[in-house]
Amino acid sequence: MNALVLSALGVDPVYGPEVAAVLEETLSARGYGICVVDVLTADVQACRGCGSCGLKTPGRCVLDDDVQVVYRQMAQCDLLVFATPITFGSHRSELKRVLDRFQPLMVPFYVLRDGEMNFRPRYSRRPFLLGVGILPVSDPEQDEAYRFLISRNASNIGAPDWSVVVAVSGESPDIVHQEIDSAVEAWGCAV
Amino acid sequence: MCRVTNLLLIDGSPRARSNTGSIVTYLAGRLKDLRATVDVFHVTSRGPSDEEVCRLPAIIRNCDAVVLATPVYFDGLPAVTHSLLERVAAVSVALSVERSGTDCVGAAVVGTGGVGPVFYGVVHSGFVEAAQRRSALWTLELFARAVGWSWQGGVSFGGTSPIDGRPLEEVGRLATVVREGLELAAREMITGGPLSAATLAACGRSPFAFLPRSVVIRLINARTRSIVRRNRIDVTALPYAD
Repeated sequence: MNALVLSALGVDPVYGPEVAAVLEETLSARGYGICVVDVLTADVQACRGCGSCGLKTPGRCVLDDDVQVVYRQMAQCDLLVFATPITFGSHRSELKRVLDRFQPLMVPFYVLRDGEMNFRPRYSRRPFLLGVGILPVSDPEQDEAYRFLISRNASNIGAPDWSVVVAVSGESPDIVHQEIDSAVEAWGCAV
Repeated sequence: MCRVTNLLLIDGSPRARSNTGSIVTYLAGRLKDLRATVDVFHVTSRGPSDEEVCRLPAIIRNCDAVVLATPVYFDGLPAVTHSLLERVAAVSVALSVERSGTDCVGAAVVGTGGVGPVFYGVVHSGFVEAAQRRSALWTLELFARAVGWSWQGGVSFGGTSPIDGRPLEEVGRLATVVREGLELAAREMITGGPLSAATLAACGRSPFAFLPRSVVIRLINARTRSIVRRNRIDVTALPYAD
């Protein structure tokens, strides 16, 4: 079982690495092979909205950067993890730069999925989605907004299931470990 | 409520000739018809320079209202637009700390006590369902809270793909909802007050009138298939498979 972690956790230089370590340990203990893409250091250009990935170069983004590697891993992973400090109830912009480039993973035909218009996923393998967000202080509204966002992201990519962990800076790593572990176990994805 | 006379419209699309640009241009026109002074700031694909971001607080200080119009990219704002908000928030917090010596982190989360312009959002996407734009609107609202701007609501338009970067006046019936919605919104923005439930509902209507979504999907897909056949495109290619 393979997990692809797209991480902006390094934005928080103190708590970010703690959560990153717990995340990797927990997934590893559950038998996942883990690939971590640090979106802060990766070469990632912003999506230009050119639409080439739909009808000109179907399924392929014309921008030549590290996201080309991410696409290949996305097509093959069983678990996709978005790990990020939360800003305004959403992913950090550095992570968003990668997520904006997901359109090549969709075929440009609409379907009705979960009762809504959506694009058809291009690849048959559909990973579970785990959102791991960190907040500097407890903020119920940002927490709720982030959880809602992950549910939307999961619907967008056609994930069979999804879960969210929101950690507050300084929270014990044990609590974070338990929440991630519970999320993964609930899917029955353990090897 | 005070009358708004100076507005800053932010075009949050990274594209040069975009549907967001069409929306911003049309809204600017309606606001000018109502005798407002309007400035437009375009995010662009590279995002604003540090210098532009540092100049923004001074521009915003001279405005009564800021309107941010944005497409939806993967359920949220485009990354460059979200980055702009993060950078403006960081500058706002820095100015706040300078002024009052308050705790930087606390001010960033809970806002600076209502100082600043009124703030409106205009969010749009090709999908017709309002839920698909909810996250983007929520982001704008939480940004306003973080920087102490008065959030007065956001309108949300679906089915905007047919605009295709053209002036809204040229799009015809498929842009009727957007035109009418922006006219209603402009009249309320000029008062500096909250967008009414009636305006939000008017903007949230599907541009495809009473057509069921299954029919809308079949029509759009038929058009795509026609393009695919004509150009002999393998639209289901799997370039990243093993």
